[in-house]
Amino acid sequence: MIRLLALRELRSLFSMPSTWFVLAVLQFIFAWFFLARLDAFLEIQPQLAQLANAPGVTITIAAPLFNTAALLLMMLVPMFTMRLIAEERRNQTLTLLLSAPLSSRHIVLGKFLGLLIFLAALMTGVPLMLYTLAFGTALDHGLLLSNMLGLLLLTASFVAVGLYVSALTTQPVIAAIGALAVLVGLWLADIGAAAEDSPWHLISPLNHFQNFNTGLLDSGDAAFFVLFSLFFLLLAMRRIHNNRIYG
Amino acid sequence: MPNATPEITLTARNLSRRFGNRQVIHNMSLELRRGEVLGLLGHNGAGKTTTLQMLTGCLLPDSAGENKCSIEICGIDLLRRPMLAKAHIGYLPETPPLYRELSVNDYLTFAARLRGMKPGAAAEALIQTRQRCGLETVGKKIIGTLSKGYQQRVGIAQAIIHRPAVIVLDEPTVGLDPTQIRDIRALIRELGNSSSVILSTHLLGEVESVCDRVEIMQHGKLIYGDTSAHMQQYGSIPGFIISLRNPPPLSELEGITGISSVEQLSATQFRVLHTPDANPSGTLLTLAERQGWQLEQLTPLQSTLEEVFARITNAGITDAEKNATGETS
Repeated sequence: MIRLLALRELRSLFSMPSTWFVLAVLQFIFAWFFLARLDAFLEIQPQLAQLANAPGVTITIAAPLFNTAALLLMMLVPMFTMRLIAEERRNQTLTLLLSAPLSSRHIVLGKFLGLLIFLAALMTGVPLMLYTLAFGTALDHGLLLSNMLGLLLLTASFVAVGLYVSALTTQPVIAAIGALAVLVGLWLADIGAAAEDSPWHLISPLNHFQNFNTGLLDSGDAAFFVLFSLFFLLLAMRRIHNNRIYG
Repeated sequence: MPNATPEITLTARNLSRRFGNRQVIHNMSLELRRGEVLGLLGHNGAGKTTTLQMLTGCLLPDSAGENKCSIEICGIDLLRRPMLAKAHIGYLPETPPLYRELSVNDYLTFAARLRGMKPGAAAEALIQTRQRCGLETVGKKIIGTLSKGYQQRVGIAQAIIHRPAVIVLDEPTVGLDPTQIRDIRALIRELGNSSSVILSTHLLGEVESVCDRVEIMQHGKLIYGDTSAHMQQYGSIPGFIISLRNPPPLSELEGITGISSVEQLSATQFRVLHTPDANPSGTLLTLAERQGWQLEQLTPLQSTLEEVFARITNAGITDAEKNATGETS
């Protein structure tokens, strides 16, 4: 059932022209940024060669590229999550799901996985571009893998927040603005907090991505993402269930 | 099996529902048998949609009453085991729940699979349902590009594709043109042969043409329930309308035995009321021939369903008022 709902979500996404447009524009931005970083690296390569223990090609190109992708996702995910439940409610299609033999768990997980798969596909452009470098040089596969895993976990946490906000309202636009406010708010609180041990650092998803970004696999960070996503998914399930009580 | 009394497919007992402080449904009970089409009739805001939402599990009834409420679909408790019970329900809400960006085939297959059909069975059901709902030619079209009538048909197809025992239709013919209304009514009649159908409507003609049984709702209560044939007889008026091309003075008509009152509608048309036990139409005909009144038309008065409905709902109001005053005094 979860798979069925996820497939339906994907089918709807790919039948909309705007999805393809976003997909194309995003690949263009990534490619532009990738080439700019590559250019910069080639320019400073002679100086780097004189350093002992100089930073390699992966960390100078891949790490900033993944970081940009993470920031772009923060802006982009609310545009996709807004549709998930708010639009179904507005178009009255939510009734179809509520009157079908499904629990709120199926509905929420189906939508979550559907969008996550789509966003994962959207992001595959980044590692593919980076792996073209493998023709000319040796890459740091560990760093790339840790970045990919981090980006996936980060996306999951963004989608979970967006999904919950979308479950709260009937207006997709409000769902988008609400989710954006939460995500950007968490990010700004994180970069604005000066103290090293400020609690804002602990609850900001982007802060927890930094370790992944530098190639450090910390089980604490991974656990944060899982708990963060789970928390908002459970809230969304609760909200869908309450839909039957409050109408 | 067909000879035995048809099984009960839906039982609802003591449903109540409030939104905030407003009690929308008061202690309502319903029962439905296989092969029956039940019309839920009522003004806007009478609580029809809320009732149907509760019967399909989209809305939970308030259980905080002294008497326990329950809804059973084919003997399965909808409130305790919703996953099993909902597989037997097909529901078309007021606005058909259509994913406008999908094609008709994709959407209907999704609807069938959602109700737990296997892929093979779903493909077979798709062909059959498209044929039943007249959707053969639009299978590959995107739902958003279809006309309102076709969209409504897709909505109905969605509700019946998994062959549910209970089909719930909320105002299925709203916004359709007369031919489409006729087609859809025929379809509902046909569905009523194998399953139970509940439909809500404020069109009395719909009840007359498709329903076996009527329940009238007002202010969240069922105030009248009977077969639709019985309802038509409810409070009929003894009388007829005659037109005479060469009419006599009014007093002459009033003088005929059995006639209680005559009202002149136009120069040639009269509304004649008579006592229930005596029918003076025979006398009138012979008189008309003898006196050369040139009778053109004689139509018995038939109370329209509108009148019946108004009479029943008014009776409901006055009864309620009587009860209210009775309690206070």
